[in-house]
Amino acid sequence: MLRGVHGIGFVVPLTLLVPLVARAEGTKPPASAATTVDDVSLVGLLELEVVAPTLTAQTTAEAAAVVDVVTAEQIQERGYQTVGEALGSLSGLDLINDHYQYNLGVRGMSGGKRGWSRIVKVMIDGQPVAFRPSGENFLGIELIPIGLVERIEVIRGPASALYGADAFLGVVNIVTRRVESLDGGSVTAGYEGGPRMRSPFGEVLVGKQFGQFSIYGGAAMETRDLFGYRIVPLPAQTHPAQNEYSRGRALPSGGTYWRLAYAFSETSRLSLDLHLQKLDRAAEMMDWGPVNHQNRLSLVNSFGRLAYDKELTPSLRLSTSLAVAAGGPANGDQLATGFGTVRSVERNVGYKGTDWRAFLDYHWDEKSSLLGGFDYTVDAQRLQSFYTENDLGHRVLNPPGGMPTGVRDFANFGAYLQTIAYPFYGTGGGWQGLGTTLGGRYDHHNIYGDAWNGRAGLVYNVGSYYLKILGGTSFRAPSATQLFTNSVGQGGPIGNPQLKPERAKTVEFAVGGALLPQLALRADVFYTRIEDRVEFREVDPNSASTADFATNSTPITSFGGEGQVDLKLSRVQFFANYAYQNSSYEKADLLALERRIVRVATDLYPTHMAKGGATLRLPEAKLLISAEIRHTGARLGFLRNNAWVYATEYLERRYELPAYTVCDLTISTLGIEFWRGRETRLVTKIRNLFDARYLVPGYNRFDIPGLEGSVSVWAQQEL
Amino acid sequence: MAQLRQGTPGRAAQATGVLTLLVTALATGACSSDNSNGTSSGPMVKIGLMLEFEDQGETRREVATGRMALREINDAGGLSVGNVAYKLDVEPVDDKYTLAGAVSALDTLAGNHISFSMSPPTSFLALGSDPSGKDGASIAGRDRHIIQISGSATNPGISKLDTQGYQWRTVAPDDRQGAVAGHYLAEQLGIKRVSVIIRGDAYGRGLATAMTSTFESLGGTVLATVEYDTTKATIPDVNTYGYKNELAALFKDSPEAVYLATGDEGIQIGNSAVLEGYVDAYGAKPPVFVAGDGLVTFDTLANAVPQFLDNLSGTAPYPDPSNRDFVKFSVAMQGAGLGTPINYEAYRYDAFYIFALAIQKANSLDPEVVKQQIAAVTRADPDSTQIHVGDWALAKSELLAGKGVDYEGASGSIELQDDGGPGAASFAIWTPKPKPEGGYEYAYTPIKTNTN
Repeated sequence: MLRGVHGIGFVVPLTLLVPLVARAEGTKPPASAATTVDDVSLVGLLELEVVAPTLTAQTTAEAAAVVDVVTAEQIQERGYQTVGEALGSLSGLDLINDHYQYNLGVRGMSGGKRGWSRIVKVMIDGQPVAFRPSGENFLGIELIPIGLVERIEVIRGPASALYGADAFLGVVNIVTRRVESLDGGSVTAGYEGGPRMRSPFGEVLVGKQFGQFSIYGGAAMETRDLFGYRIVPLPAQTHPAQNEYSRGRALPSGGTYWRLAYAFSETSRLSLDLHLQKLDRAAEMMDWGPVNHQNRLSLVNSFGRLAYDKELTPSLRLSTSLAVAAGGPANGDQLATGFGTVRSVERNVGYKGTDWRAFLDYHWDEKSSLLGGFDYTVDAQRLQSFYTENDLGHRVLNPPGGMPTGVRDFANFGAYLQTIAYPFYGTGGGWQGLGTTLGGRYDHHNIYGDAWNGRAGLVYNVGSYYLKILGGTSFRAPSATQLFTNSVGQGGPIGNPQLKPERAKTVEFAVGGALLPQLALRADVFYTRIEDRVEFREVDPNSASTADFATNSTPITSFGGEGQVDLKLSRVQFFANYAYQNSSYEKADLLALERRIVRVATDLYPTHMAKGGATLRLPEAKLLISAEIRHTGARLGFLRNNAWVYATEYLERRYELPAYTVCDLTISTLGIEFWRGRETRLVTKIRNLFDARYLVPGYNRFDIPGLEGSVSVWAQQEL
Repeated sequence: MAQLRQGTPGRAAQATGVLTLLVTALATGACSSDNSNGTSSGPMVKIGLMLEFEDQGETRREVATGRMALREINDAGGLSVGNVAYKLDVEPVDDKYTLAGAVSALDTLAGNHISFSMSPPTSFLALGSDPSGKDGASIAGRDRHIIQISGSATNPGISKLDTQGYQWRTVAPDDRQGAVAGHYLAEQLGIKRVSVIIRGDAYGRGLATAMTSTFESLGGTVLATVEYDTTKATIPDVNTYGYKNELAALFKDSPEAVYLATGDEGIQIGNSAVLEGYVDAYGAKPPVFVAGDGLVTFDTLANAVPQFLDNLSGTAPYPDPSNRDFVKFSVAMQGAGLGTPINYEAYRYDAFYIFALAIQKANSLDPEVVKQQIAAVTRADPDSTQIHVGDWALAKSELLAGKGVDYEGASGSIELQDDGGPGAASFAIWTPKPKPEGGYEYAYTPIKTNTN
């Protein structure tokens, strides 16, 4: 059981007690909406609507992609407070928290050093929200108030044929709630605490319809303060900072998202979306200056989008949008390198971007469509450059010499075409569930040139079963910071203007279905080949520098499989999933006496992952209990770290971070109404219930301790 | 908490591999003898390679370079000693850049019956702290009957140690390089006033003394000589030590140039000079930084701030780029995926080759016998056959036929002398130059001097 959580032991009993009091007061039974997962059979789980795979509303079973959905109900029931936390429950996704932010890995590929979830494309209602200079995606509370999320659509696999750059190994599309479902809004206030954490947080959601005009949105904020952690030196190694404890700082991170919409008619709508993310955290586990207590990474990222959607005819839809986006360091952003004697470093980075997108979607029957569109993006990128400051404020541009600084335009034009065809639809025969999806996209970028991507999918739905055979290509554009950055401190990483885009080819085979109304299964296998993977991990003897350079690696092959089973009994619903991957690449072993090529397993990503959970509804007790368990198999440490452990045999001998299992428990009230007939929810969530001690990968001669147990309590009042 | 794992193959493959190794080891175990180790490919002669593993980038590169040299020899037939065929391999050992670490590394080699070592890597380790050198690796090698050839220890004092033929080097001593630096500063750069910063060890002092002597003899003035504690000169890290006091003394009288007799911590010194405003204070004509070979590393290119790098040049022992053996060696380096040779790599390559030639000529693995042949295989003799880079098959046949050989190495004509050092030496001026595709690389200009 969680050790050392003081002063909040009363919270769980309180959450349990309140429903009893509420029931005694005779409040109404739970006002569960008709759309809750609890109310649909598991067949319905396979028929959840998604738009990310094709930009056309389809069910998960029909969509030509391996797609998962996290619904608003699941978010609420399981007490997910961030998108990142929700993604952590899905098969084939690995979430690492480095005490600063998440780094999402997919199917054997980690984001890597300072990767921060850049190997997927994260969008809110189709609008990319990455911090464009680095391509990193924020997945914490700063991404979006979690209460605004209607569902999270997650594609594992390539999607560049539709979305172009960065829809590389996956897509996370957050679909926001509609104003009707907000119904006034809500207020949430809570506190997460533990032996090494303090984090008050809150969220406000507002939604109101005025005839044809609607406004809704919200804001969420936390001041997460982690402290008392120590870096973990590599096996048989020491680190000068190993005895220093991290010191927290209560810094506000948060996000806000607003939509103003005007419906000209039932088929025509204009909307303005405004989005702001602010990530502001002490970063004590950074490779450039671990536990020196002076790193505060503070970034803002925002966009505003004017979108117009119109059904030109009942079968032809036009969607177009114009967005402006901007981001950069916020006030307070402060980097510091080294340990002991610490140097302040100023980072100069940011962007202002404009996106113009439009597509036409023509449906010639209920399931078949032809979609074509284009997008044009131009970002004025302030190339990342670091300056070291001395005590008197004198600052010097960091090495290496010759790295460009200043502003440079990154412009991309993309055009795409997609057809979904169900040739036998309406024939009434057994083949009417057979559909094909074909798509292709051309991108031209002013820095790295042309990219062609395609996809093909064969989907067969029969009864409550589906079968998918999928293939596609994708690419990830080298980010401005990978191309041009100078070094934050000794050791890099240093940009490489010669970088090529990373390219992936993937084939997938997926099956699924409801064996029983209460039992659904789905599984897939995949094979991906990645060319020119960009990594900051130069350890080859052809460069004896201690600095990392961004480089294109040799081709990586990755294969594996994922499966999930969902089971629903009368009051309890279970899920369990498992993912296996095997990823490796060939490398010339220059250190070997004989000339040889060796296969090197990719680092940082676990071979096995198993996750599961159960949600128990007790309407009569007005309680909902949800438990979740995540087992992360052993993973190889960062290859460059490995070279510290095995200096001259780093390709042959590897150190690994042990497997670990983390359990979360969420207890929340159900259907209690304390105020004006609106639901009041009291929630207690214990993260890392058994206080498992584990490690996640670090990058500069140390690994990072996983987050220890904490208890989060919050109250949410609907307005 | 992290676990160590041997290898990355699956368990079945690992089990198979272990079984194979066991069987092979049993089958070949009888072939093992002193100075050789049995492996699956037959008896092996190991040559130690002393390195500071902490400096892992250099470590990997040196191991790769050493194995490239030995691979060439193995591919051309390897050794034949006492009618037994041997392959050669490198045995890396960690000196931890301490005297105790270096001695411990020699103990490790001795414990593994390895009598040949490419070491010590630096003058500091070779000489030790005692004037007699008794705590240094050169004497320790002698006492353990390990023949050492260094490709990078350059202090003249090494030649004065009583190593009884157990210590050799392929690189010229610093008195010659220091003199070259003095000429470069005074004659080529036209510098009149220089300040000197010295790494407080045998390398730094030896280099600076020679430079100062030549520079002053050419009419120059040394304004300040600042020595720093070597304990501050570990892994270069701009953040660990700011050299503030040293820099204040160095720039007190506004020298035209700063001479850095340093290791790669010179990066930190130069960066700090820029950061603390000393370079900006010169306005449009910044000070010139001239360094010795200790700053010729990839780290300098990657980690020196531009205002330092753009004003930096230096001297280093460097083969004549037009030398056909150096060209051949450079091509081999490229072919091995190691890129352009830098710093001492040609000298180290030659050291491995000389070991092999001497063992073959001695037809013995006994270090007492082999050490007698170290110089002999490098010296011109009317009856000896010139052996060039890549000529192992010819060398072996000549030696097996009882003839002599004269090794003309990648670093030039070595001609090892009785003092353990090379008879000939060439130097170059190195300058960091921007590459068209970004970043920097070293450009080398051969320097002709009369300092030999």
